[in-house]
Amino acid sequence: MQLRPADPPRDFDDAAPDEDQWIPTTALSRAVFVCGVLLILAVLFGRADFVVLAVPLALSVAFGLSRRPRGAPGLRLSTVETLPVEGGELGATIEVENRDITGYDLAVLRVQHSPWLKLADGDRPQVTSVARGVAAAVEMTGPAIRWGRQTLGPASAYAVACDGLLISRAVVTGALGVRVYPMTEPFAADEAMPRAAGLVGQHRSRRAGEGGELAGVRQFAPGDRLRRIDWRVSLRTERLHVAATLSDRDAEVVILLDLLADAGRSEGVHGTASVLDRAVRASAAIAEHYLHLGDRVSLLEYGSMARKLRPASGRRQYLTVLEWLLDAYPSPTAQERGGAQLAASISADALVVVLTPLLDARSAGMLAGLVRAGRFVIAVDTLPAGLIAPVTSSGWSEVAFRLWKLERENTIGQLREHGVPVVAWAGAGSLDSVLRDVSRLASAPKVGAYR
Amino acid sequence: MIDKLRRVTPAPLIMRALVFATGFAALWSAAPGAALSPRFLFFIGVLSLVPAFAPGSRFVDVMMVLAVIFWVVATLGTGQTVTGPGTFTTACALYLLHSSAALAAVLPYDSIVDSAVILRWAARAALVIVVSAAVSTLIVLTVPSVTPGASVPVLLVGLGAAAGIVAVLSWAARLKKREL
Repeated sequence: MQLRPADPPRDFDDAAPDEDQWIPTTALSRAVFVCGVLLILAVLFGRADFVVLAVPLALSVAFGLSRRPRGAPGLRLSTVETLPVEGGELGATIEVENRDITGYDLAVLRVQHSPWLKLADGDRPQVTSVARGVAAAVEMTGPAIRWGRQTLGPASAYAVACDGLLISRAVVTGALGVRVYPMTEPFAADEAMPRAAGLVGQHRSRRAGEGGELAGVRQFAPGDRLRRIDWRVSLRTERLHVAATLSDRDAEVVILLDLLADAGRSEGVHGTASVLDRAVRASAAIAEHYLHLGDRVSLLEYGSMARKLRPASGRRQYLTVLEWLLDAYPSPTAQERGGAQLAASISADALVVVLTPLLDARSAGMLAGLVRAGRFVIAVDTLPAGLIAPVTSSGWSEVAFRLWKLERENTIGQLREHGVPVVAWAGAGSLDSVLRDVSRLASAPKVGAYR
Repeated sequence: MIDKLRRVTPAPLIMRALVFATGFAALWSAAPGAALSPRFLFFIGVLSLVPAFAPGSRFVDVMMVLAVIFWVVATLGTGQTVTGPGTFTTACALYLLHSSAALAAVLPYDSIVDSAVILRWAARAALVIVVSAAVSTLIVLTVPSVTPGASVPVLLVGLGAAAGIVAVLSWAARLKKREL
């Protein structure tokens, strides 16, 4: 039995497989066939004019095949990693390399990509010539119009050489993943958080302590710092007084994404938005706002995946939030945790912002459960406004649609009665009015089931 | 179909128009002068549209063989006088039909084509035609004595030479690889 050496011999000829990389086109067999016919006719009839007819064809074949390409063209697909946001420009480059001894007449390049990447002429084949020993690059740019993990590629190419007589086998690259982050709609909330916690932050707490917000002036007591003495009041009253301040605290914000159902049509950043689009963009905006204030933000998923992002603060957490949001998909599930179960994993002092379209009865139940468990909950309605009844042949769709809307409004009303403020997402200032209500609730005396 | 037509880009369209024009020119220049009636011209015009629509098909071969048949009929059948420029015009038309069809066949109808590709092809075709003109002149000047009715050994030698040239071209092309 002969064994194959593990180390290939030095004179290992790797050119042999490359021979198969180029195959003749129909043009080559045509040229040879017509040449042959003309030459035979020339001989049979003893006529030089048939030879003259064959000369250009014979010369083109001889010229073309005098230098045959051997290796397959090289192909590379790349993109500039600029962390694009929806609507931002994305650039892709396809590079075809000719490592052969003869130039290619042309190379036909194609690239597949996600429909949300609107590369200019990205859906058309690109044809370029490639001289020998060089690489030709085709650049395509265009906006990425929707958030998510988009795919760029695979790219494929074939080359044609020898005056169209030989064509290479197709070479294909792998696909690239392109992260497109959601556009954060302008959002600002001026109202105080219901309960601030922690040691640092920008929220006024209701507790006296080291901070910048003046709470009042009181008499000096042991333990007060000397730099806090209000000399003007002390001189007037002839007793030492200090300026009392409220401590600055941070807060925890939990953004809960209801992914049980999706609705609406997603048309990208400049078109209509689906429920998921609104939820993701609103989450990014809310997280950006509170993280900018120094609060801790965590994210939770209400769906089959039940993902959770641990609470943290700062710029790094903002990038983590954006990354986390890229993997948000509608994930309906038959059995979902109730509000009480969810509340167990949420801090009692946290502000819970639930982004929900309220299309599933379990979502309303979850909200009620969270409130019953004593959490400060705000429901942000992510169902797009201006929905119209679906057109059907029965004629009952309009009535059914109105009934569904009434039922939904009834659910929202019941939630409000349970103390869950429901507000439609409208960008900047969306949560101000409801935050005021939640703050008032938080400052009220607690009885009974509040933990 | 309408969507496909909307996606058509200029360069592939120009190449297919060239296939039509050269196909028409090849048949027109090869056909007997007596047959060039308007009806015949309409016929070869319609015929030339087919390779323009399908430049990668075997119909281009059919067109070229048809042009050769026309030439045989014109020169041997009707006794039309063979002139040097006329022969060379037909030769150029045949070559350009072949070459433009070869290029049009590999250009997708909706592709964005770099102008360098067309320029490179045009330069190469021009070079082939210029060299062919020189070689053809040489052939006409050096081989005028070959006439029908030559002896059998001369005929066999000629056929052997023709077969040899075809064999060399086939070997260079390695046509058997196509079966792979």
